[in-house]
Amino acid sequence: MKRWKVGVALALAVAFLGVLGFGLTRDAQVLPSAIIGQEAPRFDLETLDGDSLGLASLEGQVVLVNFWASWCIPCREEHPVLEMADRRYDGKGVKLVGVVYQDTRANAKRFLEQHGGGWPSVLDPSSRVAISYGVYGVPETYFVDPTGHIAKKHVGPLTWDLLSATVDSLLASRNGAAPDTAAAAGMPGGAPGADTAAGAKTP
Amino acid sequence: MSLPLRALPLVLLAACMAAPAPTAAQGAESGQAAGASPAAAPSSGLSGEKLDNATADVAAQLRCPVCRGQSVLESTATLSKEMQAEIRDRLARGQSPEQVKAYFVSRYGEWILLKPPAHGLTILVYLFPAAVLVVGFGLAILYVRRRAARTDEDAAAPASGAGAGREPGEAPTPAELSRDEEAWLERALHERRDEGA
Repeated sequence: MKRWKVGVALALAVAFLGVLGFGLTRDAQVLPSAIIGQEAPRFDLETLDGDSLGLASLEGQVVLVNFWASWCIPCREEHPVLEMADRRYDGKGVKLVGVVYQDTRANAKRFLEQHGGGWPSVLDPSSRVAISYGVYGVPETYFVDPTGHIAKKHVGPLTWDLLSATVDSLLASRNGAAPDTAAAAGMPGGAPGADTAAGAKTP
Repeated sequence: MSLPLRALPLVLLAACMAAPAPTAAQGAESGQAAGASPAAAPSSGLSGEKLDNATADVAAQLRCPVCRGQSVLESTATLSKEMQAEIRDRLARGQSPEQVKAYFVSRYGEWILLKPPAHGLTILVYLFPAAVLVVGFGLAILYVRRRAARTDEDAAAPASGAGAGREPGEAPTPAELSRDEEAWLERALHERRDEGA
């Protein structure tokens, strides 16, 4: 009589602790992003140099959309990683696009003059594009695959290992998927999912 | 032959039901990309005080992404102000509050809703308290019944002992039952035993 009660109480306590323990293994700062796998929200914005840059013009390449600000300390930390990416993946079908978040053109320009970086950055008035990507804060980086879909989102400063691994796998899938894409274009419905979307869009 | 034909309206209906939200969102998107108001969007958008109220209403239901447990309406964070502007803009362009909320959910996930939706896994949030209440009540009732039964047993045990040798030498104790009480106890015990069987 008493023993089974103790057993039940113990089981409940263990279950409760289990739930709490599971909670500990999860980082509360990391929120599941709703946008992974979705088509990357398009934008057409003015660069710091006054040109216009549209995401659509970069389709077919792996695009890193990097939200940053000059006032953001972690952005300073990750900047060399982006510079290295700009250097190493130059001409390999990878494009970097900075989106300046809650910052002025002058401050953003000064940051780039100080820290270097030859890739374009665009201004995002009222953070409309940032909101359309579901940005919480900077830095945040979205990896857009060649079909224009968001493959991965990274919150916080990038590391070289993470960036290169993600970009390499996206490049590999692009090169591997190229014949498939052609086949899908010739034979609609031949390939499922993103491949079909790519095939439908490319022609 | 006739079955697919008959199914066609159903499919069309389903398509119509599925279509509005995404097309509205896409329309808004292309409008934003072009940097102009969407071409053929219904201009039945709100304005004036109605727009203010509707904006505040939606903003109150959305979580400020950079705060702790604050709504977009309460928060003074820059991002919240910008989100309010986005809400206002979308409502002014004729989107319904539901469509605006769906837009933010599509970008930030259901987390952005201060009130979790009552479907899927999050329905547990609503059901769990009720379940705990029911189980708690059940346990309480069980406990009370058990205790009542045990005090009956305790009362019955000495009584039957006394019944074996009912000598009037000792002073009446609580164990001494009147005839009515004895009859009631018998009946109750029988009932209990029948229940158990």
